[in-house]
Amino acid sequence: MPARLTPEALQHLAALASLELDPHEEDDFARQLGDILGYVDALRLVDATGVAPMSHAGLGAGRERDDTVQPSLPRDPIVAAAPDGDEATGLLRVPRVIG
Amino acid sequence: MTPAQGAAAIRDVIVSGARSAEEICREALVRIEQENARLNAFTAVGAEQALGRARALDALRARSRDALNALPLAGVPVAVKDNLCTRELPTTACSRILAGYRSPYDATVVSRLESAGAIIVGKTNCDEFAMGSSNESSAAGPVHNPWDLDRTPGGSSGGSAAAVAAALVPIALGSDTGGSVRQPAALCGVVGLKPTYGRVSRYGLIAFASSLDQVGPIGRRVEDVARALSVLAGEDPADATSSREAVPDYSAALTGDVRGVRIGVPKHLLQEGVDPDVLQATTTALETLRARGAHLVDVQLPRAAYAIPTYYLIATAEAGSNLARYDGVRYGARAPGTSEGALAAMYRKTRDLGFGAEVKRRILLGTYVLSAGYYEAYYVKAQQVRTLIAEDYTRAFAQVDAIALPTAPAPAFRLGEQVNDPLRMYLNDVFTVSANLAGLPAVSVPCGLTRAGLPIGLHVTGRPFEEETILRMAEAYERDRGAMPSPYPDGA
Repeated sequence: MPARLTPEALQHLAALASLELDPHEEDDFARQLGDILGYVDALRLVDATGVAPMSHAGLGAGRERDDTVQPSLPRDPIVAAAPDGDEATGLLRVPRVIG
Repeated sequence: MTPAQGAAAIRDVIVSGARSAEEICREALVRIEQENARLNAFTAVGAEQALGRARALDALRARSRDALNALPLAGVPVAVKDNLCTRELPTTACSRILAGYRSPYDATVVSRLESAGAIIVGKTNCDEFAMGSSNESSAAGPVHNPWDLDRTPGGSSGGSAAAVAAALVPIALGSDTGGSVRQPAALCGVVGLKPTYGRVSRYGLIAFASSLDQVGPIGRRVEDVARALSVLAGEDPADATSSREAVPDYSAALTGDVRGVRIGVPKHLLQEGVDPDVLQATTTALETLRARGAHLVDVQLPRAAYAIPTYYLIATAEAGSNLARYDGVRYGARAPGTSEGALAAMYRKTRDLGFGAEVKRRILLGTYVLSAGYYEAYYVKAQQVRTLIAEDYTRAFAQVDAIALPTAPAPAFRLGEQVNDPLRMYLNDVFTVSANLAGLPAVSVPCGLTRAGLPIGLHVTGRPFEEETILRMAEAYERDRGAMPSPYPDGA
């Protein structure tokens, strides 16, 4: 594992995560993520051949429920909580996507 | 009557009519106003709403004292971490990206507290999206530890722990993904419980790492934490991960009787990296429990050494996914001037301005471990090691009823000391993350002070849904320990 991420690798990750990084953050993150990845590499020492992955600790939970119609949350406060909501129409405005 | 005397005592004087809920509420609000300038524990205070609820409780008492007496937290001022949704107060998870956000609904734990008569007085400061161990990643600025204002209260529920330690409220809610209730409780000298995964509803808890997150109470005494858990626990149709397991009366479990209880001590985890005062205090606490009739047994948790790397791979992968929803469309804030450009640029700019460094770091790490070529080597491997860590606990719990360790390897550190060294910061969670990985209940109870006068916590982990056992042990210890010293000279 590299001691730091390359600028290209970091930019690729940022693009995947929809993040824009300030130039001053790039240097810190490249080094810090390299350190963290070096540290978590310790897991290579554990033999987990054939061990089932554990996705959650759901102890008696995760059941199904009946498919019955329930009232939704009221629309107005949800639209009001959006950065650019139109309470008259109930729509959330975003930058133009098509043409 | 101050919050230092505990929730049960406050409730009883209100029910008896010796004091009104309004008077108690006013006193709490005055104290919060006085102290918050130094501590920065609260991000929002809802004085008018709180006083309105207090007056309603006083009116209820006038109509029917029995009705008031049926409420286990009647008139008790409670604070709630800012990552729990509240309709009447802002909910920001202490992130700029949720600036000004107002939830259209209350978290189930908030509704349950209010149904039990509690009065929510405000929202408490925390690390941004609960990611941190020092409260320094908060967009609202760091919380100061009441024991030493130059030190961190721990995190991520630092505001809740500091508010209880400073006797601003007797009970506060936190959330715990890797130790975020227990570690700040330890560093602030108060009691903090992470319940079993599924014990308490997470509906309305802003998700960080969904396979690990759990809401838990913080209080001055085990008795208050047990009382709060009885209110919070139970199935919630709105949270499919909440358990149907019956909810006992946790207060009734506090008998003081720990005779024959087998306490496992994984001494192999204490060989290095633990502050000598912390080690001494936890050893003394365990001897106290032995003197009460418990048995101390050496246990092995061979894979526990891998808990931190396992945790940070799983938690960041889940965080990266959970935080994808913050994009300037549905909640909170959008980057100024981006409404006219390209949609993807608006997302990126909003997330750049909205998230702080620690959140970005974790999103990037989570994205890395889930990306093509690394998914198997990191994420799946971490999930497999998680299975092995959980198996270690299952094996240990065949021999013992509880497992004890220090909550944190060292007492509260200075603000700024670790903030630029994320890896070092992560190691604060070394004794707490395993309970989240395995889904187990765990409590931190204060067990004295270092020579420099900083609080130390004893950490006790139990079998799934055996909160009664660990609370009984913690409370039995508390009886022998006696009152914890106060960070305030007046003993408040």
